[in-house]
Amino acid sequence: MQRTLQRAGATKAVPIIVRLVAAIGGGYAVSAGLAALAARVLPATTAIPRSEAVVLASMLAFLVYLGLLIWGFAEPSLARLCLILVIVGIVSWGGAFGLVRLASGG
Amino acid sequence: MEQGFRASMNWLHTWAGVVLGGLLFAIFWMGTLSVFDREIDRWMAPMIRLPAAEKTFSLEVLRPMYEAAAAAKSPTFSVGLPTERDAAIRVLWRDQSGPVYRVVDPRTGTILPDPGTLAGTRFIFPFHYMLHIRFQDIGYWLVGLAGMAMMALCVSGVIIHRRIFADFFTFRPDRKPRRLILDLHNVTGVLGLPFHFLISLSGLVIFWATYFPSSWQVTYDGNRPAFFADAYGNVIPKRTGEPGGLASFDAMAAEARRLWDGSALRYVFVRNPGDAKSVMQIGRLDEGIVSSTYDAAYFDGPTGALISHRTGTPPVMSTQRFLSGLHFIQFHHWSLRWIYFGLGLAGCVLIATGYLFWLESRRKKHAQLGLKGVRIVEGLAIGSVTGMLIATAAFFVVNRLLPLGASALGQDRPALEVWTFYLVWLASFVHAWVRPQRAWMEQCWTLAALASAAVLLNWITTGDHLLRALSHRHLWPIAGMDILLLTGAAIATVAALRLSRLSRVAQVRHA
Repeated sequence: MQRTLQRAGATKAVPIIVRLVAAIGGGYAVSAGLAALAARVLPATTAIPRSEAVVLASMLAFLVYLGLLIWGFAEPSLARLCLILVIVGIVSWGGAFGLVRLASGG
Repeated sequence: MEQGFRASMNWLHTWAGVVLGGLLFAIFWMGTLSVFDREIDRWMAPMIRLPAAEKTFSLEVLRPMYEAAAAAKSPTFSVGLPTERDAAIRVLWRDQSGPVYRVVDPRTGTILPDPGTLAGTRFIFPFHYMLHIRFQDIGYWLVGLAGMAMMALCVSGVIIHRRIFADFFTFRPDRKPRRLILDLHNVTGVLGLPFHFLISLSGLVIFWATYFPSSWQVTYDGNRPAFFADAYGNVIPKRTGEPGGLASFDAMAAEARRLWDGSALRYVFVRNPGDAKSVMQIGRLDEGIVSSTYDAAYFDGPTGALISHRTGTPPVMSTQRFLSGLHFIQFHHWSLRWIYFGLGLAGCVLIATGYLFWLESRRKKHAQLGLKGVRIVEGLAIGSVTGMLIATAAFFVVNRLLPLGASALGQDRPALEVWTFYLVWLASFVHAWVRPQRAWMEQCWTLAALASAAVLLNWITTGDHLLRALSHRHLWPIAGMDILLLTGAAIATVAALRLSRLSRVAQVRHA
């Protein structure tokens, strides 16, 4: 009886830990990636100067992160949450570093 | 994890509140005190209880300290100029032994005795934004996490709230304690919501470059100084090693004032003192606007010639400066200052009642099931709430008890005050876990005693009792501090009396 209870507790704990890591850590990584991408894209596509784009991207990242935190705890499907965070994370960080390489002629 | 949007937000609100409530309370409490950091400085350092400076005084009084900084090859020489709230000049440089801090009376140019305390601006205020944990910037990141959590708590709190409009007007002090606690939590939460959300957001935005460095890292190849030079036009000279003098302080200050139509000045900052390539930066004080501006003028040190100056910032940076100014409240507005203080206290009540509601709604069930949750969280709540208040009061009391220049166990006076704060805080947690039944009441009594003692000790050690403080304009900050301490003592006494009556009723019922 004791053991089944413990096992039930453990199987309940794993999704919660995954969700905490996804929402808090993953949400931060994605917001930081989107900020990096925006700071790179905005000066290239609009009239916003580079230093201004940097500040704008970082300030908006707080609100993006807040949205991701709320969604991270509200999304019923843990798999979908992780999948979307991974995809947006790869696209944003990949895009930002891709643009850095493009600019340096690499 | 529970199902459904509202249920999941309830889960988030409960857990984020229970786990981070203690940290949030500490940050909110220290932030609330920081609203009056300069006034706390005056209370804790009697030598700076000066009447306001005359309109003009010569900055040449700084010259001997500047020469000392130049001789010690200090990388910088920084001077905070007097404001309405702070009549003293504060000077900071480094020598071989570490930072040197001096307080100067602008009327006479004399260096005042070492305050021997970190007081409000150097202990309470930095605690608010970095918890005095410097290692790897962990303090900043913990505060950032708490700030994000506060915003998430605001959002989830609104979502789980079923009757947000009705609760604007609902406070039922005659109901059962649990209902009363929830009403108080809701009323402070709903009325304070815009403030609590914006104060958290603006606090995070101040440190945007620390919390979201990715944006400048990918655009400036990880070169932070390059970004700041681009964004602010900072003039950062390289040290040559050749000696160089410094032109007249007053001439450069007059030129800076002329650039900004006679505006007052906030600081004077010299890079490479004593070097042939020293640069003096003078900052503008604008107490008439919310925004905390970056306006500064740069002068070549040896010749005193203007290198460059900036007035105003582009739109995005201006938004950032506005949000920062909103948080720093360095503008001149006493009624708003008190409103910030009141709303900050409302935030503290919000966090404390959140804990109380969690405890009251689980106490019976946990007792029946033999769970330890309530006991653990109650200790956490007591130490975080009354413990933090007691530690702050003890910080004030020990400040009035230690003689100037005191040292013990190799710690100087400022360090002894800080040690007292932390040890008393730690003791309050131990007390709370050892005596959970009586800890709230006993800590309220302790708080009442310490707060009253602080007022009494201020009178004994400085002679500035309440009546005297009220009758001198420059001692009003002391009067304000004493009145708030006495008010706090009175509230703590009432709380302790009610708690002891409740515990007597409970004992009668058990018997």
